[in-house]
Amino acid sequence: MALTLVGLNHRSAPVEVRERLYWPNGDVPGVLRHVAEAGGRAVLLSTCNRTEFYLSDAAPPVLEAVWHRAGERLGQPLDPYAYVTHDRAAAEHLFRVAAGMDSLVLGESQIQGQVREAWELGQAFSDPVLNRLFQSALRVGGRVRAETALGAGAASVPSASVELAHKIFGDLSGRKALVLGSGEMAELAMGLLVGEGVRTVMVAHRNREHAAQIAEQLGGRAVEYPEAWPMFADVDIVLSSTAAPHAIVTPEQVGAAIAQRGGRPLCLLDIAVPRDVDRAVGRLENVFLYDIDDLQGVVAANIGGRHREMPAAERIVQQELAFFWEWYTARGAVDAIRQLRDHAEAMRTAEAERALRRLQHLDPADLERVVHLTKALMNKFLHEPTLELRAAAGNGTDRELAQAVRRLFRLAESSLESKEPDRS
Amino acid sequence: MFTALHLAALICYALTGLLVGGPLVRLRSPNASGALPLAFGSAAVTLHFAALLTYARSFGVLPLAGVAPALSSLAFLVGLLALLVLWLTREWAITLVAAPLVVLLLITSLSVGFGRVPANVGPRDAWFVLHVGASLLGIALLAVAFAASALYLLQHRQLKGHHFGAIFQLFPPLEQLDRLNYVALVVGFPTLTLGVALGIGYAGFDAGVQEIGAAHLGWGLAAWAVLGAVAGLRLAGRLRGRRAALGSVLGFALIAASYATLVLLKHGPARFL
Repeated sequence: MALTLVGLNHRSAPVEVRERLYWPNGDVPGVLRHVAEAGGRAVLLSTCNRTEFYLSDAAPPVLEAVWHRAGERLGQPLDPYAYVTHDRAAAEHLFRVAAGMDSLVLGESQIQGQVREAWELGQAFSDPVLNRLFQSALRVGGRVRAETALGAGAASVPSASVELAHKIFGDLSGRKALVLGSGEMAELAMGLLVGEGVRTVMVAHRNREHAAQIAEQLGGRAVEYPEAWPMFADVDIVLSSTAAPHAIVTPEQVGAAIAQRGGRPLCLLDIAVPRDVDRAVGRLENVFLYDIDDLQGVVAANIGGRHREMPAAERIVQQELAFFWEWYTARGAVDAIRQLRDHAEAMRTAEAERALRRLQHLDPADLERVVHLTKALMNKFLHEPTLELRAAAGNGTDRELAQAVRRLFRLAESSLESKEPDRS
Repeated sequence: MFTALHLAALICYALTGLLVGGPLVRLRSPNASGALPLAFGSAAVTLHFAALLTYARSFGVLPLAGVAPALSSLAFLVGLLALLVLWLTREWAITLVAAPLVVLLLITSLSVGFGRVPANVGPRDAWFVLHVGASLLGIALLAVAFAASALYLLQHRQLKGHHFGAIFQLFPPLEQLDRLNYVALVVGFPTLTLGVALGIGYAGFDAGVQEIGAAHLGWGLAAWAVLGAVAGLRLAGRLRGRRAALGSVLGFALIAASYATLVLLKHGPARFL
């Protein structure tokens, strides 16, 4: 059997199954060694959303080893959740995975790194086919990200916060931020903003100790709520996520401070439910107020935009798949042709030498003609089989034909270890 | 020859606008294939420069006197400045305003026709060259401020209205547009003022007023006052954002009205400058 994919992902298996089958990087070489002992060459891609084995030549014992190992890890048979694909479909699947087209969040870029990591971890257990497959997949991922907008825009609420701040301020380096309250989402968003260069971070929380903890994580300082209101005159971004049952940021509270801003924009990100900021604050000049629904709206718009990029990404996948498939299918034929020619050349050389020893009475020019005749005959005999093997490579029947040639001429079985052609 | 070069430049400007506008409408950033619009924009500006150079060599004067040459020079400066902004910021949206403006100016210029150099102006006169040159550069800079302001107002509307569509996603950030408006305005206004002052010196104040006409003078003074006020307030740090953008748009609209008044209502195309 040829190139094979055995795996499960977020569509075929629930999270409790995926998390059981997940292999951390440290365990991957052990798993691949187990497959190698069964005679298989494999790369294992294991992330929180998928676990997939890519096998270059999955003979039944190899598939059995994979099935057994996965079932053992899962504590139950793999069958209800697994998919198995071969050859072109398997390659196409990996290309789509690397491009982020098969991800839970369409177009996410993390998967590109995970595919690279999987290939690097599996290099000791892979072979030229798998190497070529993963190189091609990484090229697909790179091209899709560079040539389409499949990964454009924020795809989560925290990153949507950053996108909105970017749309107002552009570069966020050196901007000042104030955090009101706490919460996982707020801390994630603030972490991203700090990553974008937001520097002065003040954290206001009714629990001063908790505020100090968050401020320390973000490299800022803790303040009391009464101290926070005048800061609306100075800060650029306010991120609010308190547990207050009603709006705590009102025009009366912060209107005077905002009036002192001299027209500088203020980005208010209210991700609390119920909302912390009175809608009237958002109507003040140069105040841009967004709540959790708005942030989810940004995410939805971006995801919609990503979906519109799918045809362009699909074209890249098909283009690279055609390149890979051309190389892959030609491999068996090229190998058989090379073996056949080597075999014929060895026979020709031996027979020519024997003949020349008996023809010593001929002058050197005639001897040369005899050698030329042997070469011409060999080339004539090999011409048609070579053409047929190349044609078979084109229509995907080269494996059977190559096997027949090897059997007819008693050639050694190839392990597909020939040198890879370079398409780059 | 210069008409053919103008036509070639016009086509390249239009293609640049389409190449940027097309992907923006389909919600795709032209960044991925950004080399093409940049190449067409550069080709347009180069062809346009060649056209103006050919004109100057044919007539032995700079293309500043007369409606067609002056409009063409103005279009060239707007195109050049837009290309500079594009090259520096990689923000393609500026082309959405600049390209149609340049195309409009060039079509007007070609429609009027280049004809002979008006006899009643002294194009070799240094005063004249400085007057028209500074005026056109000032107007071109104010056109860039106008383009930035128009984009600012559109993006501001999206951000305030919580609309996260094509404009939100593909237009530049507000602060970047505000900075562009600021720079173009505070450089453009003094340049235009210098051009006007040199014109007064060139024509003589009384003669200038008589020749220009009250309607145009009224619009021109209004434009100058509005833009001066906006530039002054911006320099003093008392105006920015949406109000500054509105001021720039208003000032540029008054400039356009001033020239339209002069060209279409009062003196006709031959007395454009």
